[in-house]
Amino acid sequence: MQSFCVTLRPLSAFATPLKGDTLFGQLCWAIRNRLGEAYLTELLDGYTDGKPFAVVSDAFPEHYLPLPKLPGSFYQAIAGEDRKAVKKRCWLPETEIEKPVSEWLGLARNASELAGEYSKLSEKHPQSHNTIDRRTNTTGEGGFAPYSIEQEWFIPGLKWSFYLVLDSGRLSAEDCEQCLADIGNIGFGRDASIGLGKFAVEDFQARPLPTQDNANACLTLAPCAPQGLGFDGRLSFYQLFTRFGRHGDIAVHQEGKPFKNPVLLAQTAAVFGTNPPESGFIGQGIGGNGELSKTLSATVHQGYAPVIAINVNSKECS
Amino acid sequence: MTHFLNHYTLKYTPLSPLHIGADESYEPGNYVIDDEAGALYGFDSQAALAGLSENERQQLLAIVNGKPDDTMLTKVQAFFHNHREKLLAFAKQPIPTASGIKSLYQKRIGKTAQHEGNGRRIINKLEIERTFYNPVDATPLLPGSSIKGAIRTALLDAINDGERLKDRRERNQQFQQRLLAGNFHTDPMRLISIGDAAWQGSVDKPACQVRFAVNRKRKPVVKNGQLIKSQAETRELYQLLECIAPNHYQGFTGSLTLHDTQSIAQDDRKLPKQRFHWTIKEIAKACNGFYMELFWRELNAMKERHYLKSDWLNQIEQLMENDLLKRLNDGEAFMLRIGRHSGAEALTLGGVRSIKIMQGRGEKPKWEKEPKTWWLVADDIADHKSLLPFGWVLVEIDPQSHDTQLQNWLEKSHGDLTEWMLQQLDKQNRLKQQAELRLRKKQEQKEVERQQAEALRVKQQEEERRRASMTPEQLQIDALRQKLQQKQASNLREQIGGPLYGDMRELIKQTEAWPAGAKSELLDVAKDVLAFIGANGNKKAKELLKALQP
Repeated sequence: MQSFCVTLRPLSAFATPLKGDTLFGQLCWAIRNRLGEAYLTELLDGYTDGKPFAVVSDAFPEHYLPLPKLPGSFYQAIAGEDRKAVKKRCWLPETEIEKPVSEWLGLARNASELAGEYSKLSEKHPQSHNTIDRRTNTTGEGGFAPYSIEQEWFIPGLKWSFYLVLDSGRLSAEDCEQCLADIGNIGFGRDASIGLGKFAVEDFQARPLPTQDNANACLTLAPCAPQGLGFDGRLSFYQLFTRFGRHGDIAVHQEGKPFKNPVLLAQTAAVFGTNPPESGFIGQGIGGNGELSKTLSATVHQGYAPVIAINVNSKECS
Repeated sequence: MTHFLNHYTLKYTPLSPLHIGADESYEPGNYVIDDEAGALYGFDSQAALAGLSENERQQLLAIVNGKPDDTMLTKVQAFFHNHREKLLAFAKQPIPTASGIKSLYQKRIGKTAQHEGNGRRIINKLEIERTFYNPVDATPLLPGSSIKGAIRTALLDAINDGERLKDRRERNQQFQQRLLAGNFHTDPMRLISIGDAAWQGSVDKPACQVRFAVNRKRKPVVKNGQLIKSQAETRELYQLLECIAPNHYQGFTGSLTLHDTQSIAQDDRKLPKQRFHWTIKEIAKACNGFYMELFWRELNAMKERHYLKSDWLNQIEQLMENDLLKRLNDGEAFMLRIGRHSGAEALTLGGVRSIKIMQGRGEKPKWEKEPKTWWLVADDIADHKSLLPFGWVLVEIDPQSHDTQLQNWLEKSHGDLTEWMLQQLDKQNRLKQQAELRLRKKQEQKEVERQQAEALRVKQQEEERRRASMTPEQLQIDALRQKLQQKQASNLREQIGGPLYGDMRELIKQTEAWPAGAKSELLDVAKDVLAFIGANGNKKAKELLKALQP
């Protein structure tokens, strides 16, 4: 497995957050569309047995990574800042990764520092839509009567990057880059066909995942399914979230429902007490045997996450 | 590897003013109009606070803390209007307004528009509806959904080909599904992915303008020898709309991606019908077929009624006579009509068109083949001769070269706007510099006051420390010394027998049991007092001092 860093430049508003598992799902569809269903089936062989062909992280502001969701006792206290201001420090510059974890809170920035003059990284804004009766020039029942969706607009000039751990023997980096460019052209996530989720792939470079010496834990860069993997509970800290997944692309139109079964995941920036694997990711592939979807029994969901090897020691600060 | 995505870059050039509703408006609480230049300046609450002094902020607070009724609104309107110069510096970029809007604003701002019989007061809220914009940098934007809707109408019209409805009870959704031979998941439009078109226009000219939308009759109707006006015109109904100005060549850039499904198994239950897998040329042809026909029909009808602005009309006709028409016919570009007031004909299909025409209050609507009126862009409510249609956009597909004639018309013939923009930005910068200077002076003044207060605090602390180290006798001597110093500082001469001498005498009377050191200290001060009041030679005074001598 080889890790790559991919940089995206948003070209329109987004309605779906750029999460690793969602990106992976859309990457599968892009592969299917460009390289064919048989190719995808081959790539997914062994996906739930710890042999994924690709593991995708969330997209983060370029040159930043998420601060691990560790209890405050793991970090050196910051004098003179109230609790809520400290909580907002969630972006760690990649250049500071080698410094001890206990110093990370002090080195982390909040969104407004990253955003400069714009004060926040994105602006949420509703957009209303309507359907006009093509006979009477009226709006009313049927079709899409007036409705509104929320869009997220990123500030100009801000690029987003994510890590991709790829088995380049099974899917070449060139094909993968092309498939990501396809996603950018079609649009990512909701309402892609009416304007949203467009991006350009600015950069696609092989780059090792950052790492610390004497690592005893893993920092996850995407939502992850850690259940039953025997991690050390004393060094594991995470926030739970339930992914109510949904089929993408033409699977939406299969008979049955477009929804997958909900999956309980550990949110991005979790820390798990385990020796960092050489592969660069932890977690497990979910589904593949009808557990995840009654509509498409072969459906899988990314429960893997690329990780950064870190050394966590709570005693440093106590 | 199969080629399954066809990606095109589209360049959009508005040929007439364009307004796409954003469900937001400028209200006099968040804009002011600079009367001199007719420039609208939008501002947010932060700008309002930054621009106003402490005293003015208190005044505004007093207004908004009042009873929340129409009176309060008029007061807020008037307040911002009166303080507009201060707000301009912190406002967003200026937007030119139509001449009629400037006078309307001057006439109505902060005033009651109408008093009704029951005591109710109608105020003019002076709302200006905003066109759709990017909330981060406030530039205008053409949403992909608007563009896709317009393309869908043209494609539907091409498929229907002027046919009437076979079943009058057929509903809109069923009708479209029948034409496209597919429902939600087999709708061919899902193979067309359109990106929002982002603003690319030059910064030295305003992107938008504020104009009136006015209603005009399509055909002259004469009753009793009088030309009948439309209902909206009779009642002087109009809208104030922020419109994208038709002054920027290729002002917006967006994308269009077509999915080619050849590579996957063709299954009619899962995919749109093969005959509806359009190419970009076919889409352009359908759009031109539908919109160009409407464009000429409408242009000719408006010409007959002499509604259109003559130089705009001439330019458009010249453009079409030259290269542009050929490019449209070749499918290199296509015409669209999008946004508000595109007119019912741009949104309904030939053959099935049965437009709902609202009648007066309490009357049932009628259904007609064509609308009775147009909504047109005007500089003034009463204008009948210099109007423009809404919503015409030229879309160029992956253009390799510029349409120089169009570019020259849109960019070079609007030099006055560039000059206007420069002047306004100059003024805004000047006001900003003045505001910053005011702010800096205020901060410097505050700093001086802070330093003075700090120096006083330090002095008081020192004084307290000094007094804390004194004996009770020394404290009394010090009190006398300070009185002397005050008199000396204010140069108030005193005679023997005055209060200073009196205080000294009283103090000396109490010194019998004092230690020698304290007596000697008081003697020094007493000599100074006598010297100050000119009583060195006075016998009584000399006698008094003897009590202090060793």
